[in-house]
Amino acid sequence: MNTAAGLSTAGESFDEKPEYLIPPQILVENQKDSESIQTLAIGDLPKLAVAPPYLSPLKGKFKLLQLWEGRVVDIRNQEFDAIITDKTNTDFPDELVTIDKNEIAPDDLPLLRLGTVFYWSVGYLDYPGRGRVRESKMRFRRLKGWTQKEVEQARRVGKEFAKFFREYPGCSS
Amino acid sequence: MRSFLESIQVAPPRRDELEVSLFGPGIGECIVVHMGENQWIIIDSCIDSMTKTPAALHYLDQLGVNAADNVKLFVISHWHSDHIRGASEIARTCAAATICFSEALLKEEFFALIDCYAGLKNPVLVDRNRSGVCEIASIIKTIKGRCEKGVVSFQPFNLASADKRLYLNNQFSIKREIWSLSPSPSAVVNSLTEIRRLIPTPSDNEIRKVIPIPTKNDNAIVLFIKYGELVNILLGSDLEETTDPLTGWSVIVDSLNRPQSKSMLFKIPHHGSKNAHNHMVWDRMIESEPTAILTTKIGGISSIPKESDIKRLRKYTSNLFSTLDPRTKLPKRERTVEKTIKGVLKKRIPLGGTIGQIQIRIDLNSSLRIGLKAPATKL
Repeated sequence: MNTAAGLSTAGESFDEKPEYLIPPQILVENQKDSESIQTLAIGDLPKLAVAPPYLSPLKGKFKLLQLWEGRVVDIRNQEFDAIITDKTNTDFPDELVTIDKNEIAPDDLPLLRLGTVFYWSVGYLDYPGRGRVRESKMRFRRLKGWTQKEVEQARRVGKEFAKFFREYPGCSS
Repeated sequence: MRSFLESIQVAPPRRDELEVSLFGPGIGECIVVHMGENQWIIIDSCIDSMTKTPAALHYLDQLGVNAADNVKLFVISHWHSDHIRGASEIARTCAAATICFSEALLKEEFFALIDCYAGLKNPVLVDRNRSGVCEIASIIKTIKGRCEKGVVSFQPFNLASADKRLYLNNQFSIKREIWSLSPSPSAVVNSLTEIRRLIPTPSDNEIRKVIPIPTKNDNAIVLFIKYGELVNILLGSDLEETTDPLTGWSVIVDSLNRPQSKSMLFKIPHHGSKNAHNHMVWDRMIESEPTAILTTKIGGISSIPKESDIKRLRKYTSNLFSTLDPRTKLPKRERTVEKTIKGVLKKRIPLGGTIGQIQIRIDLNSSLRIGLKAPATKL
């Protein structure tokens, strides 16, 4: 019989109470009073299904095979163009690709605009007990834009540089 | 007389020989010109994917030319995107070159834009895919540094505009000139409008983006080279035709202030696209049956030149050469990755690849020798 950690096999006798609670639906009707809940040895129960181990989503592993960084260069009705840079094989040239908008998570769709940056990863997702899944995931970068202060400073720098070159001897258009 | 060679020549040109070499890796382009007497000009920049160095510097090095002393003019006809890859390295290396760019790039709006994305003065958060703004920021700093040093025997920078002479050399009684035929004043205004639009708007809801690829090439610098009495060359940059008669090619054709001679060699603008075509250019600025050269552009919804573009251009000349790379192949990745790519992507085009070169050497009698380095080809 399949067992889970902490459970005893059927037919064994127990000297002490097991460490788990019996779900309320399998308690004997007259014992449903919450104050008198008591546990039963597993051998006393009629064919109880054994739950699989608890699978924490945090315990899965992602094996990255390939990572690109992309920037959006054109958007049409159902698809968009992007230039992607290979972050795994840095010697490979950039590629211009066309991607269906369905590949983007609904949460990210509002971020699909010209010039936005996204990451595309391809790899294997392994969760114990659930097998291996091949995953392709695109996530858009959520880096905060320019602040008022930054733009004002840039404008000041712009003025300063323009003045420098304008006043340089020999500068003429 | 026109002779066709199988491959390019690796020995430097004669002192009295003009050379125009066009490089194209599939995206971006670069032109290297020998103006005689070991004086060289570089126009734009692209990176050789094999050597990872600017194609122009790599080529000059192969010829045994000292770029630091012998490059006299470096023209940046495009500030944006991948057309200036490696340009900052050229600017730094060519210490005796006047760096020349459009007037719009000396305005405060442009400097503010560059400061936002690449930090001209103070360090800023810089995006890795910055569409060339870091190249430009570095070039501006290089020029400013040379200006601040004060003592230079040449002009560190110059502004290109319509009908302006950028270079003159009268050595040994041969008059050699380079003229810029664009941008027109209206084109500069249009360009500034676009630059203002690109300056980020501060907002709590905005996320950081890279500069979008521009839709027009208003600011491209068209060059005219005059070498002695017989040799004239028109380098069309990426200038496109517009509906406004004060911008694009129309204003150049109609100008009375430009040199009026017809050219025997034409670098076709904007990869031979229909948008850059103006029949009057061929009629009034180009000799009949000229030698025409172009680069390909891989990218966008379709690559250019298209078959229809080539057909149109062949009506003007049978001597049409391109740096086209028909053998560009997609790189192979791990099998699982390739499977996923096939499932996700609808279309895939590699950007960049092997660089092609068209080398044209012309003597004072206007005899041409054309050499090609694969994957450059005759169309």
